[in-house]
Amino acid sequence: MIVFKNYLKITKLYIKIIIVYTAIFIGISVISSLNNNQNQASYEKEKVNIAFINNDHSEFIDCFRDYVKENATIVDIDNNEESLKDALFFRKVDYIMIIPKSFTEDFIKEKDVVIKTMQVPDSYGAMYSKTLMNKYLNTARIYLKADIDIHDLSLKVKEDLSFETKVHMNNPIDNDDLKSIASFYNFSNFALLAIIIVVISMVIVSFNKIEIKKRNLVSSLSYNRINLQLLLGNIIIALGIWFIYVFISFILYTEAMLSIHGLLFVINSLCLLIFILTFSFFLTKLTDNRELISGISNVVSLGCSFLGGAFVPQEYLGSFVLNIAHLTPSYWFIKNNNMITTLTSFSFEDLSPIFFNMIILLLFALVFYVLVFIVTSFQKKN
Amino acid sequence: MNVIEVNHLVKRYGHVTALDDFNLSVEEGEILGLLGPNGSGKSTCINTILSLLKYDQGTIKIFNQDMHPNRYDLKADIGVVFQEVAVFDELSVKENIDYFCGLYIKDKKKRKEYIKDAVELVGLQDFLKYKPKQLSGGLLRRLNIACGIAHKPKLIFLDEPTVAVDPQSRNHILEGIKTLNERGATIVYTTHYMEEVEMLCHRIVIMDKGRIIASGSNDELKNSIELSERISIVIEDIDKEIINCFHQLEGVMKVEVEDNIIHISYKSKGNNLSQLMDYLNQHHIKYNRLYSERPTLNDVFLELTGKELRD
Repeated sequence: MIVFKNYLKITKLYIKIIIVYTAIFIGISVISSLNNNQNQASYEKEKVNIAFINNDHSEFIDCFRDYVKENATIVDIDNNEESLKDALFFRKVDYIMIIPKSFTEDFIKEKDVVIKTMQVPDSYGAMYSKTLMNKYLNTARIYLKADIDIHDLSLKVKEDLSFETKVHMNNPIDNDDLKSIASFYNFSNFALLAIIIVVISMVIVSFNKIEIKKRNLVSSLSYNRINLQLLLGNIIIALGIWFIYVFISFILYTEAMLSIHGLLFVINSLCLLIFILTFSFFLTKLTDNRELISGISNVVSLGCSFLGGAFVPQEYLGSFVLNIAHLTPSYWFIKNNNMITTLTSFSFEDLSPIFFNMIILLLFALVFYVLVFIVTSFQKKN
Repeated sequence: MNVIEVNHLVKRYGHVTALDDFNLSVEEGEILGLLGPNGSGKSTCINTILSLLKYDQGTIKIFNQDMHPNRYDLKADIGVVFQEVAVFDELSVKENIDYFCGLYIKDKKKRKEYIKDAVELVGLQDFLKYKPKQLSGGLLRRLNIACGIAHKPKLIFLDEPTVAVDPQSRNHILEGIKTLNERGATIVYTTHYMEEVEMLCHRIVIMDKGRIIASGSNDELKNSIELSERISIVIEDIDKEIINCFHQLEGVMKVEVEDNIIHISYKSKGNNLSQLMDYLNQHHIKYNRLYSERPTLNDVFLELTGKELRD
């Protein structure tokens, strides 16, 4: 095993690179996933700013105003067109409700009445305010049909709208944890690509120096054995680096990782690792130039990560970028991580799209494995 | 017993014939020098014998057995020192020797002893922990040799091991090669330095354009050519008359003038020097210095091919 031993000796020289890269990437991953967790945990219902111009002053409208006040912040604005437009323009309010005179009377008589509204275009706040208003008036209209008097109407509507439904998630694993793990593994796409390509390629380049190759070829150790020992070195080093990342994911999210979700994340990452291994080997067949390998490693790791959605979530990427991303293994790896977070059951139907993506990752590896053979046989002929 | 036997070997690179009906035999225990100018086919010859290159025709036998790329049993007894230094920049001197020795020797204890012997042979005891980049050109060449011979092979190929080496390292290397031979190794030594071949080799093979143009011992080769002695005279004022007179001396082949030196080449093996001195005294020709040289291997090559060995 002299070749394998020597492989490990040379890899020792790159241990600093591995540690520095890993420390930086894990640091960023942890911060990013913790940040993600914090955002999820500190969710609060946000109150939008609404201007409520009341020209009716009935009990029904007062109750409606109270309801709006409970669910939004009412901002006082002068009732003239210029002030109202200014308030919208300067985003003092998202939505303005102008209750016309004798609105209640007309509403009870089921006349065709309209609350005049003004809003900030395409604003979520405005949409929310509109929903609030419609919800209140629609509920009131239902009670009106039951001939309930105006005093009881306000009380009934208020009572109805005060009901809250408590939702309990059946999933025993916190979905936020799964999202954090997905974010961790998505980010590891870049780290694994960058580190493993650089380390494996640099070590193999040393063995691929023509002088060393000649010396190995004239030795009594067979060519196949030398290659097998080099392959073993590649696998051990790649697995070692990968294991660090998997281990840290278990440390950070122990409970969530000790589940089928965790297992799927690990298997998915292993599929990516197999691709990285074959790609690194292919790269060393193409060139012995260390600077070029380093450059290609940066371009591939950064390019695949950006396109695949390791840094920017895939849902925010344009269709053109996503179409190109389909050609990178990172896209399928990251897509799979995101899909794993949404799994609630593990039937064959649920898992088959995930396995399909894993197979695509392995096909990428197969393509480069075949390319290694083609390039090797071409080089042997030469 | 012949350790190497090459018969009718032909190796072509496209339209260029690098080895043309090449025949070679190397006896056990001898140091064979392969001498020839750059591009004469020396390295191709070695690479072909070692199965690093495919060949078009002929047979190659090592230790009386057919040699081909998968004959790892034969390779176990062969050591190779290539012209280009083949070491790992990332490893120390000791680690490098250990690696290349380890390609042949599995036993750690044995390997340790072998490494020690190789280090002593090339004189690298003080540099064991050095990385190749910290070594001078000469020390690097010595490391290259140590890596090639550490496993104590019976047959060693040394392909121009002293290129660009300082005199001290060169002497060390040449002494080391002699020692290896004394310990029983058969050596094939290629170089274009004639002095090294003259000093080291029992038998010399001179190559040109992929063919052997002459072979034999140092003396045999020198005796095989017409030139037997060259006498050089340093004279202050050289005139044409003197040169013409030298032409008419007995046994003179050629008279050449280089600045204020006259080189007289003799074909006859006689008492040329004393006869010439008598002639100079009789004709009152004043000279500053006068010296005699035996023909060199370059003269052999020159006479056989019409060009200098280092062209």
